[in-house]
Amino acid sequence: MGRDKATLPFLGEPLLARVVRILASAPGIGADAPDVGGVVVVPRPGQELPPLPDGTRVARDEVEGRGPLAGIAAGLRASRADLVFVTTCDVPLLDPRFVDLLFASAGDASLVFPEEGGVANALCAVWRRSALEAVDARLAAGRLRPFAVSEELPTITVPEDRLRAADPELRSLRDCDTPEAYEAALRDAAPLVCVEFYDVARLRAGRARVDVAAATLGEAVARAADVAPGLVGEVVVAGALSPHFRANLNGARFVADAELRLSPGDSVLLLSAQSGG
Amino acid sequence: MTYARAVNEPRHGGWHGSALAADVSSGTSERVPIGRDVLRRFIGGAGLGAWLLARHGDPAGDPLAPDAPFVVSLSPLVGTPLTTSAKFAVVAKSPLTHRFCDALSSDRFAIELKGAGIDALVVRGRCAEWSVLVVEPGGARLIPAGDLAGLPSAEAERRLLARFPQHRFFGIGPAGENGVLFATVSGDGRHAGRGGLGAVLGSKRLKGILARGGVPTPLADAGAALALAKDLSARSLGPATAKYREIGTVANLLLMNRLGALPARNFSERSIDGAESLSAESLRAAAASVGPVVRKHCASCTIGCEHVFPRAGGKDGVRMEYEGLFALGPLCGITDREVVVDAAGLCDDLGLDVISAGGTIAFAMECAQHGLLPGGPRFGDGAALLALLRDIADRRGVGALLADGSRRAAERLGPAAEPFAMHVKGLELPGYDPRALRTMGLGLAVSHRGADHNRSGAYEADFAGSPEGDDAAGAAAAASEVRSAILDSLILCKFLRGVFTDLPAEGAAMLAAVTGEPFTAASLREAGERTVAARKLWNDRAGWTPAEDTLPERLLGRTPGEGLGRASLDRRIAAYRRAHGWDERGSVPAPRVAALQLDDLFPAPDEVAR
Ligand code: SF4
Repeated sequence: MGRDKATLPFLGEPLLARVVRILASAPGIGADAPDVGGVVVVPRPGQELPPLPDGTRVARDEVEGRGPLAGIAAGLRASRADLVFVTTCDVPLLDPRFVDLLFASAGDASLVFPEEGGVANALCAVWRRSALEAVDARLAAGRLRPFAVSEELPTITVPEDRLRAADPELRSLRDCDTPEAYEAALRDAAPLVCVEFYDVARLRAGRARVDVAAATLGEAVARAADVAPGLVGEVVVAGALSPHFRANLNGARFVADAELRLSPGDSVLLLSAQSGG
Repeated sequence: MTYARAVNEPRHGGWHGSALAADVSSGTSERVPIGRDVLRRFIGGAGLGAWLLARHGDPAGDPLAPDAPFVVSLSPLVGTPLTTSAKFAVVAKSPLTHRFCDALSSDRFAIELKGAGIDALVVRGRCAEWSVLVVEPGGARLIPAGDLAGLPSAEAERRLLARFPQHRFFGIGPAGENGVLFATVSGDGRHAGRGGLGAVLGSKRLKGILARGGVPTPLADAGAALALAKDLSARSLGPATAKYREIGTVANLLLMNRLGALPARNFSERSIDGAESLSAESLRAAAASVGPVVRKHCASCTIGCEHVFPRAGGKDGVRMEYEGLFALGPLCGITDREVVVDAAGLCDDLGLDVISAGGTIAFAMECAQHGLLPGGPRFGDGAALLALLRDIADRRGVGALLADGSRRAAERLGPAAEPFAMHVKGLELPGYDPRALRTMGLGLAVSHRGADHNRSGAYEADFAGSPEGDDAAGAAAAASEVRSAILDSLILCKFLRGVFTDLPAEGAAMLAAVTGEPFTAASLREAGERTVAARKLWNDRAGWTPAEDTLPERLLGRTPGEGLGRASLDRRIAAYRRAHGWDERGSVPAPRVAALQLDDLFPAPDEVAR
């Protein structure tokens, strides 16, 4: 790309910040799992980071030239979770449902790699924290290929057809290695919007807000229900907002059209239709 | 007091067919028949109350004169198994607005009063000493109540029910006794809050009314009524009432803050920093260290919207509602949770309408800020708020000025203070800023009671996506008044409103089953329109002028786009009047009066002269 990908502007924010926000909205990582400690960013030695969402933790690996496996080690060491989703910063179309599927596929395995076109991917994958011992040993031995860790630890590869159930176009695996790929991702990306919950919606969601990637009001409602499944059946019925609830855009106007286009940074408020006294 | 012999009227299902008229000056009472045609046309509650006030009250009279009627109007559904039906309307001329006022309340008092074999109680006169009016199936009598004077209504209730355990009480606190123009009447902690009807009861030297019934509500078709009741109960537990059941109206505060619809610092702002500390979640979290938040129900209610928050230090728990939270909190620039909860508890004890109390004190705070009320309270001063509430109830110091509400206080402080009096027709505004909720703004401007969110639910149109254009907004506000009049005449709780898909049709089916009368959706809708028009006609005779259908200047917005603006509000008011079938000036034309069968109550002036 010719420049640091972490700081590439993407729909109004740095690419890294977008990926962090998407991860923070995934079940088991963000506000619904406070014990996990949120998202950990591991910069390259000497790398300057763009502004990141509140609550993001940074773990440093100051040894030069050891590549992504050293970053994975620093991340695993800093994480408080048993299962850790590992990704590079240049996957702006990452889908929280894809992340969730990999977590759900782990069973007893130490590594969960998605597979596309017959190739397993270790850098958009789930790593068990207990893999750290093996990773450190390999780093010490100068064996730096992340994928090769799977040779000595129980590994599951999730086949493409299963992945597509969560992410039909496997957009989660699209990186921005070239200017063309970056431009294409910009064209295909849904803006990140904030869904805020009020009254009964907040009770059911179990949180005050969530960031989701959604191009339309209908998508925002559906994505919010993916992240906060307590909404399903009462606030969100058959993927759409129940008639007993209302949506408001940016606190400024009430909206109902599921096809309404959203812009980056929009806030969608979900609230009970019985909003008076 | 002597008992009058009951007039033998044929009973209809639902209704008993009579009102009890009590003259507390002479200590007499008599049962007055109410014809079937009247009951059919006005149903009960707010509708029947409008008819009774028009029959017995002088619109131009002094609301605090002995002769001014204080009406308690029941409904055909009281005493039936229909959920939320244990309600009644208190109807009188408001001493605060000098306009028609109907305030609703609920609980066993409604069932007991109806069980006395009446559909309404009309009280006139003035007792020689503080008394309680006792209404029973045999008639009415007065008992002395000098020992209860000065007590909170709830304490008077406790003492009376210890002596009369079968009765239920509805009465006033110190504010009503002292003629505070926004005093409430309450029973079991539920207030008929707005418009100062507590002062009307106080002017009669009545601490309250004790009722004991026993006469069951006849059901014309018990099987059908039970089936409808069962269905309504089941639906009352669905998603349309979840907010009220699980959180209560305090849930509104954060949302209104986010929408820029939360009146703060006397409407000089539309949101407040620190609103989180008054959120439903914060209130619950703070209460958790003291004890559980207790959910309470009115009698005959399956919803149970009341959430009583415990307080430390042995103080009684307080039912917190959004209106008290906003008016005693952000409106006065206060976000200290403990102060706001204590202030709400104090208003309950003193018998003060929380909205007018908060609104009037916020007015005083802004006047003090501008040097118009030297030594007056400052925004954010919780101690001053608590002290002023007591002073208002006792009419002491600045409290004496504020006890008459913000409009009169502004008149006394001079023209510079008037822009800070946030009222419509003298009634302080509720917690829905018209700059953000503009259909609601129209509803507040035109309501017969003054700035009122209970007789018009126009905010529902805003929450559904504000109607486009003046005509649509006018039609929405008019329709909302009719719908509210239907609910308030049946009477069913407004918190059930989201349960109905077709209120007129469903309400008509309930009325038909209970009364045996052939109600239809059309006849019930017309009854709602009739009630709205009757209140308007009454107000006309009380001196209403078109100019009073307005909003305070500040709420029209300083810049185009910030609020409705004068011209746009006027266009919407015109559209609202058209939607009701009224003339441009807002009067109900004679053909419309006749079509609504109101000409017997409100004959044209030339007919009166003849
Ligand atoms: S919903 Fe609330 S106010 Fe309405 S009847 Fe039930 S408890 Fe009373």
